[in-house]
Amino acid sequence: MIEVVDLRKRYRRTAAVDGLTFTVRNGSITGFLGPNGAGKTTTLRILLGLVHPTSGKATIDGRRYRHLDRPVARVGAVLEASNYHPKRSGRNHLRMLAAAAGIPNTRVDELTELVGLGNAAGRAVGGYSLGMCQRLGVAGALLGDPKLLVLDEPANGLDPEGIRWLRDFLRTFAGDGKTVFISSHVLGEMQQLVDEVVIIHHGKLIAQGPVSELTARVAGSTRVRTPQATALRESLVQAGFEGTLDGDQLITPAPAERVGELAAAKGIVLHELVADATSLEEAFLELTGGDEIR
Amino acid sequence: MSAALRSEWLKVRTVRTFFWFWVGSAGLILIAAISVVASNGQIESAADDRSVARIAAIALVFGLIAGIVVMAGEITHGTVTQTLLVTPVRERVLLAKVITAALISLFVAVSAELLVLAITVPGASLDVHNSRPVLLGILLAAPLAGALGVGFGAVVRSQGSGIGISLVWLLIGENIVTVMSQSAAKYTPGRAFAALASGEGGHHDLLSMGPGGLVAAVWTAAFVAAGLLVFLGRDV
Repeated sequence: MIEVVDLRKRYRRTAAVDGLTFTVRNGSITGFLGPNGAGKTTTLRILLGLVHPTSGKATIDGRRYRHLDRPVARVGAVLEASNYHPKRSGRNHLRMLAAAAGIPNTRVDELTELVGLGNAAGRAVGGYSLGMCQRLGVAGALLGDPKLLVLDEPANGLDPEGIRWLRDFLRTFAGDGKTVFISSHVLGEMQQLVDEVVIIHHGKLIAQGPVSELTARVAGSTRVRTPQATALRESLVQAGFEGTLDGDQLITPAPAERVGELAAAKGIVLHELVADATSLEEAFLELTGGDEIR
Repeated sequence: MSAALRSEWLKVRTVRTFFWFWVGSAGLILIAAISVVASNGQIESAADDRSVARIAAIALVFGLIAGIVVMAGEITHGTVTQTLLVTPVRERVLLAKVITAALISLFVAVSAELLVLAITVPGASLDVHNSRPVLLGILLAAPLAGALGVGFGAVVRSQGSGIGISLVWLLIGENIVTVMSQSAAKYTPGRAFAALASGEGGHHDLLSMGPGGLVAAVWTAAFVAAGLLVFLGRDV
């Protein structure tokens, strides 16, 4: 589990991260969202031991990155796509990382094939497209077969086919019970991919939770069709929510999950339960006061 | 530690930068040694033997530059990020780089000495016996030069700036110190390394070999310590 507690990072007079606290549970795909300059990259780099926090802590399974045993077997990270020696081949880049981690070269060959760089692996990275660099970054992150992937804007520079590849890959990865923590500005992609989101703004936490809950919260409505609409409305009112009846339909600002829980507790039959389909982008803009995401 | 060393060795082997350092060092030595053979014909005194053997000390400059590139090159290209993701204990990374740079520098120095001997022993009758202190001094100085380069590279964090500053210092800075104070100039890094590689007992502008080696070792330790402090403290 990733745990960030009261994390702060100041650059002279600017607070890049300002008392940030959140958790990412194991086995989830969690999106990390925020406008340009919100502190996402700084937070990820602190988590990975690359940037020193001013105060607070960011841990993985209770330990700072530096103190993890064989970190590549626990965490794989994909950061900037430009962090390569332009004259070194992709294969040699991976071999260099594998040597440092005590991983055999057969794993390197396996991964270059997996990410679709098999034919280009022997070429100098300076001749790679941005998308190929991203794939190389993913291969590097997977060297130690980690349980957690941390990705900073991995879709940058990928063409639609590359984005689809990444999405399918991350779904497969998370399907094995592994954890993905991903920052991205492509909110449409994120909505299709992530289970939960952490939204930050000016270095502070704005919201955290399941995507459906956040979109429902912002949209302010869940639609329910039930033969016991009046009874359900009473339960909702007792729980502190409003409810508007319309025949056998009930419209309420309560999140869909909460409505389902209340109905189950009272033994109320539901024929339909729909969270208002507000997009993640709309929810994001609402939560951050309309700041454009980058 | 051995894994970090293997990785550093792969970094050196998989780009041609260090090969070109070796070629550059060999080329300069070749030119200097051939010109000695062409101009003198025969070497007649032990002092001349030592003077000719000192041609191999050119390798120390290349060793220093190699050290700078081993460290600052990773920061310049950004690959240090991935290095630290695999090996997050920064002290271990720096130590592996110090050892790697010291070995590269030693290799360049050994090659340089072999080249000098191969040309000047048959060409100008260089007496190997008389040259031994110089050859030993260069071999002792080479790993120190590589290690110092790593420390300096960690401080400046840019391979271009690191190489530029170090060459300007060696060619101009140390001469300015000499003009200001000849006694103080003996203790500058370049003069200390020159003293270690001199194979002689010292004279008016150089320490003798032993104290020179000691001062060179102190400079190396100081730069490596400064580099470590910067490397530990800076964000990547």
